[in-house]
Amino acid sequence: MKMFASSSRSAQTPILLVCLGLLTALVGATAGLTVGRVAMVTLISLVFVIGQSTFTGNSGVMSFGHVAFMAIGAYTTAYLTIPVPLKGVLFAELPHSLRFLAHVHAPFIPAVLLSGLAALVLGLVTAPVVARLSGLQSGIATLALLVVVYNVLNSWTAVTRGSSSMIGIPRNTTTWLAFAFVVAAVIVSWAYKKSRSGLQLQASREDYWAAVASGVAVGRHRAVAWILSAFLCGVSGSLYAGFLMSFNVNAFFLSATFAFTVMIVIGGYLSLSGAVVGAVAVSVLQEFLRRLQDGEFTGGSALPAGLADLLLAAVLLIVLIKAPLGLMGVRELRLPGRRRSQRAEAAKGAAGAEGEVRAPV
Amino acid sequence: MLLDIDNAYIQYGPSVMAVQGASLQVAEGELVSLIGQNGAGKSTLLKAVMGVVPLHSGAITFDGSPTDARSFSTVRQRISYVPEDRGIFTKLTVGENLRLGGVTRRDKKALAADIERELERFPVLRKYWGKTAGLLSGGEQQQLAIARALLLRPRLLLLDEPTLGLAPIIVDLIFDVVVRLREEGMTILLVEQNAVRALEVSDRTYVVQAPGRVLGCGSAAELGKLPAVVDYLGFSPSDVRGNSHVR
Repeated sequence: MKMFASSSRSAQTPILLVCLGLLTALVGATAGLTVGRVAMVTLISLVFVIGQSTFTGNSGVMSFGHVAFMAIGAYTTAYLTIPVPLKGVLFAELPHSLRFLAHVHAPFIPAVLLSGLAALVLGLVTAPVVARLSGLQSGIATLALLVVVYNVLNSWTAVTRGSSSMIGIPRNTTTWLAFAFVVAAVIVSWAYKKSRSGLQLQASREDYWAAVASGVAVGRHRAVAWILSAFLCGVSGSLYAGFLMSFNVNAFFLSATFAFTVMIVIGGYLSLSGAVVGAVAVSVLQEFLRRLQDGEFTGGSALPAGLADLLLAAVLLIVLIKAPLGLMGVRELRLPGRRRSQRAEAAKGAAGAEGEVRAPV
Repeated sequence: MLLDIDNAYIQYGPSVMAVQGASLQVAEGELVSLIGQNGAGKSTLLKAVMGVVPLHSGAITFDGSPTDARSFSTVRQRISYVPEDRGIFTKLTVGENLRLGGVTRRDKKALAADIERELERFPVLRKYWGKTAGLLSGGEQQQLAIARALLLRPRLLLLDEPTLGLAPIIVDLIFDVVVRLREEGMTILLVEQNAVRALEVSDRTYVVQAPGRVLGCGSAAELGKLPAVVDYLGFSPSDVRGNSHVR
């Protein structure tokens, strides 16, 4: 019984986060076209921020480069799902060694997973650098990754169509499919947070030298989290492509990075709940501000253009001043409940180190 | 000697020499303390053993292996360090902090037993097992830091001012634990501001003067015979009651 109570308590957070995603999906499935579209983008954003939080939340190292993984996911999905005859037209100038790309095709779900894997490969290549850096250097290095990927996608016209749009992607991302991936992302990210690797990475976030002195291989665990987060962000890019049906390279640069950073910072970049709450809160706020700017709440008189962005920036500043660690700080969503017997917690904890729930006394 | 610091020079930045020619030895099973005023270089010596600050010149060897060798690992050699700021993971729970103390160990059953032993040694940690470590009082955090360090089953335990800023009752508890660990055969190098208490519990004490020079070494009685030490401390160490005395 205690075991059940213990595991159900630790499962509260992912269940609550999934419920938040379910609420968003229900709104998306039942509301009109505009709100439905906002809900869908929110669900895709949730997959992205959960992915980024898997790295930033556990390591405490901020990243401005995760949109690069999203871009890789979106371009991979485009290649795998655009009908072959259309690809023959769109990619007529493919280099000889890459001609096979014009003939490959995959159903959407495998395409999503392959897109995640493509982003994972980029994560694997860049992990050795990220694992060695902290603080400002890491932030600059991840930004450099974004710039490099953006410039490659923008300049390699024969393969990526450069600044021209990728078109003809079938619309495969449905509300419930996006929700399913939100659920999967929550489970993966939460499981990592509670794993030995996740715990050690969180220790390095708290005190780097104390973690090293305890034997934590900080670089290795940072690399694991980085690669895992790359996969999830790649999946979000794939869902994004499957929803929009067309995109161009500018969708994956600074404005997207800023939007996701605002979500994570407002929610709290050190906790998974913070990322999820931030994504939902900012999406709702953005939609509210857009309607305010369009005059929906002011009797039809539109407010000056750009006001919504100004107000969003003001909210970000207020949150940064009042709650520097975001709305959630390092906390995770939990239901209010009775405190467990601390004796039972201690017994469970000591036995947990042995891998089984057994009172050691 | 388990730990041998030989003529160590340690420099901070281009001009600040924090330690000038310090030499000290710690034998297996000994409780050795370093006392001296603030800025004498005591904590710097511990950091040098851990490799947190590099040696400018001189040598530090642990069980015959130079600590600055690329292959040297304080974790593999089981050297545990409790820094002055305690180095606990404040946003993790007490239980998670303790689990991290044994993160490199593969003997899970023995680790569980060791955690249980530390919970017996420090009952307050059992009481606050699920509580965020940053919410503990200073004394409770110090107990957590020591318990976590012990979960590595250290061959050498480095304690940097473990009683700094703590209530007298907690100071007594910490010294009591230090003496018991010594009785269990653990080798301990203790940096302590409270010179009297350090002299009481230690087998040998090094008196360190800024910048990191050893004025004298020995038991309380031996140090009492050194005029430079008596002059520096402002009291005669020989007036302090013998080691293993804990109030």
